[in-house]
Amino acid sequence: MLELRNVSKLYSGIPAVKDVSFTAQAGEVTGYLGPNGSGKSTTLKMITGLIEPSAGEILFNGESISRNRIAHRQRLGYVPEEPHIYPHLTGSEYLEMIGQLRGLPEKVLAAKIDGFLRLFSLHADRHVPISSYSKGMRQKVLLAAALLHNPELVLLDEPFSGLDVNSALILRQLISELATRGKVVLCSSHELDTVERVSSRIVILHKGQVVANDSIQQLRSLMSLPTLERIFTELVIEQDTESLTRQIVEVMES
Amino acid sequence: MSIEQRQFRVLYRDFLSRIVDLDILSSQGDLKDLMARVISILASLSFIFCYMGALKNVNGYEFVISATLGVSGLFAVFAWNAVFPDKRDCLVLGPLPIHRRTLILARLAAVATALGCVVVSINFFTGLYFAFAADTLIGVLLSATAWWTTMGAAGTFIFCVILSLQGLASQLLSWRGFLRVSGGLQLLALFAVLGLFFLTPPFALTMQHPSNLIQFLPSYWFAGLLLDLKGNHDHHFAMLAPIALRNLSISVACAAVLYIAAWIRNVRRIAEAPEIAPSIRRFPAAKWLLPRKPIDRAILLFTWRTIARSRQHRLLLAAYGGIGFALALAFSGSFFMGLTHDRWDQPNIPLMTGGLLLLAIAITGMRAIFVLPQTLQSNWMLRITAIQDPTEYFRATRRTLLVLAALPVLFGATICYFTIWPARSALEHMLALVLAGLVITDLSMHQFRKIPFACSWLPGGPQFKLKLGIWMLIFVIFASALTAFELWAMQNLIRFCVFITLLFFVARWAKRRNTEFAESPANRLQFDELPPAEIFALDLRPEAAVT
Repeated sequence: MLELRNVSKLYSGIPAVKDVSFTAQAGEVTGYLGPNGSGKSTTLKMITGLIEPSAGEILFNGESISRNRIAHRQRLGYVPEEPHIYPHLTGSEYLEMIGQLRGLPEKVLAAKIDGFLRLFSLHADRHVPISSYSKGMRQKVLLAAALLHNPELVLLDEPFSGLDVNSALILRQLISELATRGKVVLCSSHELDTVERVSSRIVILHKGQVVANDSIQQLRSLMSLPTLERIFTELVIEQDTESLTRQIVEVMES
Repeated sequence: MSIEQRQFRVLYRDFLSRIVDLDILSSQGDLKDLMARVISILASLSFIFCYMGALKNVNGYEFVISATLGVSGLFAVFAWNAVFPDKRDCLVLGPLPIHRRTLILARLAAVATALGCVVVSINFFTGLYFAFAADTLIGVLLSATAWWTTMGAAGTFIFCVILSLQGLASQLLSWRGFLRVSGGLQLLALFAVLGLFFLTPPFALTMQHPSNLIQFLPSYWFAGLLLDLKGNHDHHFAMLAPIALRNLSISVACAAVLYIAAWIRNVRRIAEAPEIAPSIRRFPAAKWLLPRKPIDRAILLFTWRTIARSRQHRLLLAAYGGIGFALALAFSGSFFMGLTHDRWDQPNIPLMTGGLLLLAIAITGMRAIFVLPQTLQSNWMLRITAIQDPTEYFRATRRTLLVLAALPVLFGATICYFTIWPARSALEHMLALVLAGLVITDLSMHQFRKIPFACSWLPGGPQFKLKLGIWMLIFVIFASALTAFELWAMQNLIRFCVFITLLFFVARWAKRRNTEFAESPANRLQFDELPPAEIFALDLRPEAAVT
């Protein structure tokens, strides 16, 4: 189980994440939602250990992740929001490097890389530099790298970004399957429809603070709203979207 | 001002700022800072030439022309990727309403400006000195015209030769083929320029008995041209000026034709090139050569692949290689020029020092480029996969440095020394060279806590450059003394054993010092240039409070 207790992050005194607390259980997918700049990616980076919380505590299976960072990293698989990968390496070389850094045995690693590349439809381009990959292909490489070592905790930050319809459907199934196999899955995405389908629990972040944290059914009945999109709009969207659209068109035509 | 003129101005400024890779040469990629530095260094060299009395005879003229050719050639090598359109130009500028002639002219104007700055800077003081050595005002004007015409012609010649080489390759090969060999050609051009500068024999001595060799020595032709323009029609040098003019015309004509052809053809080829770049060939047979330990393998392959595929890293390594090659040539060049009485087929100081300098610069050069990052945004993966002890990373980096820098030089040196020297002498020197390689590797790795290419970097640190320059100078002096001592030791087996034992203990001490540093419990991998401060501001302000 992943647990965040009153986690905050300040940048030069300005809070990006404020007092965030929630739990993500093993065997279920937790959807982590919020508009741009709400602090989702910051939270995920704190869970990976890439950045330190200014306050609060993050626990995995009851143990603070700061107590043994190396053990935490061994159990962690992370797909970042931006597909930053070394562009001069080929897809195959990148996965090989990650596997070696994670200490996977050579034969196991070779078989895993081959399998992932085939299943993610990257095998034909495995010797092509990542700089030439499309965004979707990079996303697949990131997914493969995150799953290479069979992690217990899977953090997905906008995993559907750039994926085609077919790949997105597969990923949706894959996320559910990972949860079925006992992993803790925390998925941040703007694809509300998809998140609604795969997640059993939803955490909504707004301006760095948690504004909703419950199961989807509970949220629907509490707010008397039929869909996650409506719940999200009610909790987070502050602007009149129709008026804003009209203004954009007016500026364009002026 | 017409639209085309405005486009020209914008493009000219943009192309000028992209003539060389600013990020690796200047702090925060500042063009003005870079230009000021380069101009001041070259002008200082020009002043030194004057101060050393380089313009007192024809040998001096030839030397300054040779320096102008060398500096202009180096500029051409460093501007290799900036003279032709690249993919960014095609994709960004292609869809814009800009005439092709505007693009070509702006690019040519930018290149000519930069080349002009280089030629003027390296000749600033020598040009004044040469002109004002004349007695009359007309003499001053004539001398100045002769000097600047010759230097401009020499700079243009070498630049056009290198441009033609690049243009020819791009026309003869497929676009992918050209991209593959381009780095190699650039390196070849660098070594050719340095070789020409360091191996050109003394002018006056050679011209006493001219041979066909002068056909291959551009500094001689332009020295002849200078004398001819100055009004010195000595029959010894009379044949040189026509060679200079002929070869200058050929190089300019070839460069112009190939440059325009390359623009027309390459823009189309780049635009038509598929989005997916060509796949990279692998050598599965070489896998058995790789280390067994996964982390060693990962660091070695990452380092190798980064150097092989990153233009910036390759260019910097080539620059270090060029310095090493130049120093080795400067030491061993005495054999080619007949300036030494040593026997080349017996152990001798010039060849021994050349090998040691090449080894030292290969290691320090490789170590220096390790700090230049490659895609910092991608480092998050190295951070979250850092599941092993930092000591393992330090060991892997040291082994990588040995394998990629020291081993190739030692391999080449083994072939060279065993071919030309008696086996025992070659073996003894190689033993010393291997130990010296270990010492240099461990000294250069002292307090290094980074994974190669994975730490942020603050370029242009003047203190670092000053230190590097001083250490280089000290090492060149030290290398000569060390090889002289080694040669003395090699004459007696006991002396040699003592020498090797001493070197062995120094190597062990250097390694132990690094091991102790690496195994220190407080040690950790460094991903940022500035270490985190020991004291943190608490930022206790009411508005900073978490609510």
